[in-house]
Amino acid sequence: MTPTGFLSQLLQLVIALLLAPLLLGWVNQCRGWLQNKSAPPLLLPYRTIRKLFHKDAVIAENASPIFRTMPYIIFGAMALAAAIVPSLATDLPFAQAADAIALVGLFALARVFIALAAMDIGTAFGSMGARREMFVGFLAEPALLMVLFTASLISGSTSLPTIVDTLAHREIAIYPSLAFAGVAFTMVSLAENARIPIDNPATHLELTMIHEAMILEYSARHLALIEWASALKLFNYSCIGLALFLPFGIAQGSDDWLAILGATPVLVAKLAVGGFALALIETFSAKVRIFRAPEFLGTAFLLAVLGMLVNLLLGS
Amino acid sequence: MLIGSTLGGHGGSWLLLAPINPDRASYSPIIVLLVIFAVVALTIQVVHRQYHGRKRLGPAWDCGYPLQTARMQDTAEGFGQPIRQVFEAFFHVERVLPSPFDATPEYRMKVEDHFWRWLYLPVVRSTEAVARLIGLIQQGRISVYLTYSFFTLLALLFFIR
Repeated sequence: MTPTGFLSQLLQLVIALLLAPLLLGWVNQCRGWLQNKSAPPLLLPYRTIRKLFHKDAVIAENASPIFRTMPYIIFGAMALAAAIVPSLATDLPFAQAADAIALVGLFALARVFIALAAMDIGTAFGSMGARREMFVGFLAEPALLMVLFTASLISGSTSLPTIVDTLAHREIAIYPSLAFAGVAFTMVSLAENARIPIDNPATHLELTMIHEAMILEYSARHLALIEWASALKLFNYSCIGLALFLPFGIAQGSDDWLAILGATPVLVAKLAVGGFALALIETFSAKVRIFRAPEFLGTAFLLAVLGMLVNLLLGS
Repeated sequence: MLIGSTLGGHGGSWLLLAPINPDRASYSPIIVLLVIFAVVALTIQVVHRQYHGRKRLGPAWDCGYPLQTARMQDTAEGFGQPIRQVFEAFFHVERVLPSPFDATPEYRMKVEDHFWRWLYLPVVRSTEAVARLIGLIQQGRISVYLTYSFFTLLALLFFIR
């Protein structure tokens, strides 16, 4: 691990931490425009996080230490994931610490802790949210792994930087398998990030909540960290999607700072388009019943398996 | 051969778990653990220094519902309910639900594998039937067994002659 490599790693992490709330703000703003509402300001997530950091934390009397450490743990897991995903540069030092499969495990770690913390207080809504989250999670995870396997079959590696290097350096070709995997990945990302059609991030109805139900008991700095971590999760998933399906403009190697800084506007542009597409999907679809979620995620799994079969049988 | 060499033998550092080559697949649990711990420690420090660590204890909010008792807590049964609901087609589920007017409400649930019912139980039943037939000649009386021996002896003598 060279010092320059380490600094590049740190740079990517800081850029990810700073950009994540912006992506969330952009998606919310686009959704506001598309739904004919007065859109919230672009920088609202930053202000919310800052406001929450200033407040006094109110903690339930029967909360255990798990409840209080969970926001830090999921923030740590998401920050590590942001360091591993090749969003700005490949060949970063931490990228070798976890390949695509370990990355899925990292997301699962965060999910387990958030579900544990939701059940910790013992309130009805918290455990209902935890139950639903695990339900959606265990359906989404196999589909996500299948998508990653399809991409790794093409490049012969489960390491994300190698996948990016391989895909970015081939002559422009359309892989039918990647098209299937791309649709499946989009569906899984929607479910994993608690977006419509599985969950509605803007809902006020406790009975339909999944992610929000789990964090109902949180306030102040804990809530700020959870909000930031979910913004980071959306950012990470977007970056994984961009790395797998649009791997252009990502800096090669980690020793060139200018290349990393040059890759930032490309990433921002790609994320802007991706965020608009996400808002479009959310505007065109409605939240489905919780027991329709298996159909949605089963379709995603099926598409991912189809992509894999297309790759294995047709070799394309 | 296995002693003293790292997994995969890529000659790299012992920190990395790489079955073939770090370019193909790698995982370093120690780095993952340390980085998560470092980020957690750093975040706690920064948040408490930059802002404050004030906290107040209060009753659980639970959307403003005050009459919460421990009996309303989720059970393992409830936690696994959505998963069971989805995979209901693959299992044989018997469910007894109480009605709101029951004085002594009772909830019972029995989940069975279809294979158990359609494959294993018939095999068990036929084996038992055959065993019962054979059991008919085993009555546990010494006189009956002596009779068997007697007839066997007669049969043997008949064949040897």
